[in-house]
Amino acid sequence: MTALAGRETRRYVRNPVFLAAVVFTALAVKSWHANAVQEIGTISPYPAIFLGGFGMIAAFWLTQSTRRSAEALDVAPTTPQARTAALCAVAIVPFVLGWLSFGMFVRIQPLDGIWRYGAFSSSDRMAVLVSQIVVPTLGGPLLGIALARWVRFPGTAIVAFLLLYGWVSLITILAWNHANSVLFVMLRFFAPFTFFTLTDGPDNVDTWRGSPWFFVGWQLGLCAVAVIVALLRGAGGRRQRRLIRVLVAAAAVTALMYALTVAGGWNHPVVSHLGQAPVPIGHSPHPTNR
Amino acid sequence: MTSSISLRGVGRRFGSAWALADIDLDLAPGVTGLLGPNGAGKTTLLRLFATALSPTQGTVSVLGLDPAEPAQRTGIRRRLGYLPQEIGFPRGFSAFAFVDYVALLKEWTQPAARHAEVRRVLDLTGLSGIAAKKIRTLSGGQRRRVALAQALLGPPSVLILDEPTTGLDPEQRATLRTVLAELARTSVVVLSTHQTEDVAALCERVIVLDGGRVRYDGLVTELTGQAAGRVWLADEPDPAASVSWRTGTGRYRNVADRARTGVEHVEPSLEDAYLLLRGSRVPT
Amino acid sequence: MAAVLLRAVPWPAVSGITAVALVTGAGGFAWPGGAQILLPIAFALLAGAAAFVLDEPASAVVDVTPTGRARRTAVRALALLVPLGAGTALVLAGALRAVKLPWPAVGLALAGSVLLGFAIACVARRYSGEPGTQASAAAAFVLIIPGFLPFVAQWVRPFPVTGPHPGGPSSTTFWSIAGCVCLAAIAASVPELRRRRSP
Repeated sequence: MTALAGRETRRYVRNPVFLAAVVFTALAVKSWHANAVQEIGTISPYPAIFLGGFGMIAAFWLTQSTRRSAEALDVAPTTPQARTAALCAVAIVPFVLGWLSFGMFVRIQPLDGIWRYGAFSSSDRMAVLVSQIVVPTLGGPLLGIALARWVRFPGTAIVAFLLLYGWVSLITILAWNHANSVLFVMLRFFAPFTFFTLTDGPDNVDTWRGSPWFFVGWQLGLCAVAVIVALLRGAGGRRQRRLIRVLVAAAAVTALMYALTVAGGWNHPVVSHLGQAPVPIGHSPHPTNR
Repeated sequence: MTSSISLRGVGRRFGSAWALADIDLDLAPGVTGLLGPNGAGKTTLLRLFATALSPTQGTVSVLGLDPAEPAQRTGIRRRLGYLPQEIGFPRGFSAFAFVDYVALLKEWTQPAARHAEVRRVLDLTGLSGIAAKKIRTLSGGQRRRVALAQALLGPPSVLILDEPTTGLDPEQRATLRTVLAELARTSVVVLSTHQTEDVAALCERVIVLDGGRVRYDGLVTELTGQAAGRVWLADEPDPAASVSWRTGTGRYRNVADRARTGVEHVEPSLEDAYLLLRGSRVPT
Repeated sequence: MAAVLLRAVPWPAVSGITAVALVTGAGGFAWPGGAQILLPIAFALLAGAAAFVLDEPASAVVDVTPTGRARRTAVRALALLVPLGAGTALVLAGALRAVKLPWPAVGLALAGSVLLGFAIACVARRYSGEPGTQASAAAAFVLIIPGFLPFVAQWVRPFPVTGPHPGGPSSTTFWSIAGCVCLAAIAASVPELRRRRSP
């Protein structure tokens, strides 16, 4: 298993799409140093987009690359589940790079004393960054592997990437305009990535509803679901029943995390002014003056 | 117009490796077999014949035409049939639809004539009964026959077949031999195969490639004759043999570089001669 | 003849991705500001659909038929009407709903995106008979990456912006140049149109 995981990881890190992801992430990290940060949300998503999104595409292609040999591989003593588990191990590489990016980020934007993070505590700020920078770098490749185990069409990964990017972008705009609406809060968190703050002018930062820590739980739950779905492919008999039980449990926990994300944290959006306590934002839609 | 293929000083390089070097060949109507170990350059040579590749050096002439010249290359392709080693099929196509598709690309523009030709080649390859079936539902051997059928459209003046007997049962191989023998009366047929018995049964001439170069180019009978007196049976593998293997009768067939006396000689086969030419040691 | 040759187009891939693009783009009209977000995504998907048009599993055989690549490319290009038609429907729907976008420039972006996907597939076809997967990814990256990298976005603008002009070349300028490059790439990919004589 270790040898197999090592082999798959070596193949993964040589994939041109993954290499491009690393290069673009490095460029983004470099730009963090170069620019004064006004809006956290304009710089934190890059590892998620590149290491997570591009990493998903690379993992998808890596998994699909052995499809033509499936008939021969499936009768090897190494089970499809073991091979899938070895594939899932490749996500460790972008995950580690995600943590490195996180470390770089908090060096230039320390968690304490910087009001650009809005009304969150230090702990919550950390959760926001972990959910934006780190966890997607793990979940993206796992999603790619799960998709490739079940879907034959080779263009699936790129379509999924575009749709996820579009969904997150859209619901962010909707959340911005309906910051206090429960429906749009729910939509905002029904995604593998979300924003929690918005810099609205030179002296104001809006903090939106929801709990960052439970959102991290929701993301990790999605990662677990992706792994189990990937493992289910080719499973039969007792193994399949066991995996389905685990999947149901994981899905239930993930759903619980989602509910707590929506219900937790700030239960109304607030705006932070420099040097002042947070003030609730009115219930009317946020002005679209950007 | 002469029906021939001619190569002069042909070489083909991929990166820094020469897949073919210093190839001089002349092929006339008839069936020519192409033998050689894996990586010898057989597929590369066939792709050169089929105008799918251009040589890095040297000149190629097919049917008196120059494949490097676009108009002449098109002229060659009008009279060419090519069965590659591996072939994919468009999704959702039946056997008939695929061969019809290739026929159209081969400029059979009149539907009635085209469909008649498609039915002819499907009949030749024993696919008439399953012509309407989707290719994805066919067995590997049936798919190979669909691929062969498209190569027979025309009929072609030059027929290039890369491993045509892969996946075919003995009966189908016998049918193929009949088809090719008929075609070879007027066409150049070149086939590569690992089945020396197919070459022996079908080909008058054989070319043995090794390391991208021609090791032998001549009659099948002459190559086989080179092994005369050098093949014998014994109850044990003979240490003096270059190659020795256990046969189905339980006895050992031995092939040696030099003629031996005092042993039970047998009629040499093309395989014996090929192994002698290759000089390989086969583990027993 | 065209009808038979067009049967070999991978229609499930082309029409499937086009359908997803249609739904995505239409979703952008449901909320104010949504079109600016989702139409570029829809156009990237349409570029991906266009990239699959040239996929030919039987390329080993098809490439040595007398019907040259120029003719086959021209016939296959008819399949671009599917993503173009879907994109045109989105543009018309947006214009009729009075969504505030510079629709002529958006139309140009649509045509350019589809052309980009097709052109990348034409180039990639030299190396693979089924270039759709890689070509669709490359086209999507070209269209989406400028949005991620500010230092690129100021020079490369695949989708027109609304509001005050942020500086740098407009999307019209981008597609005028990119369109010419795509057409040149398509022409260069066809052996019959190249001066150099080789299969």
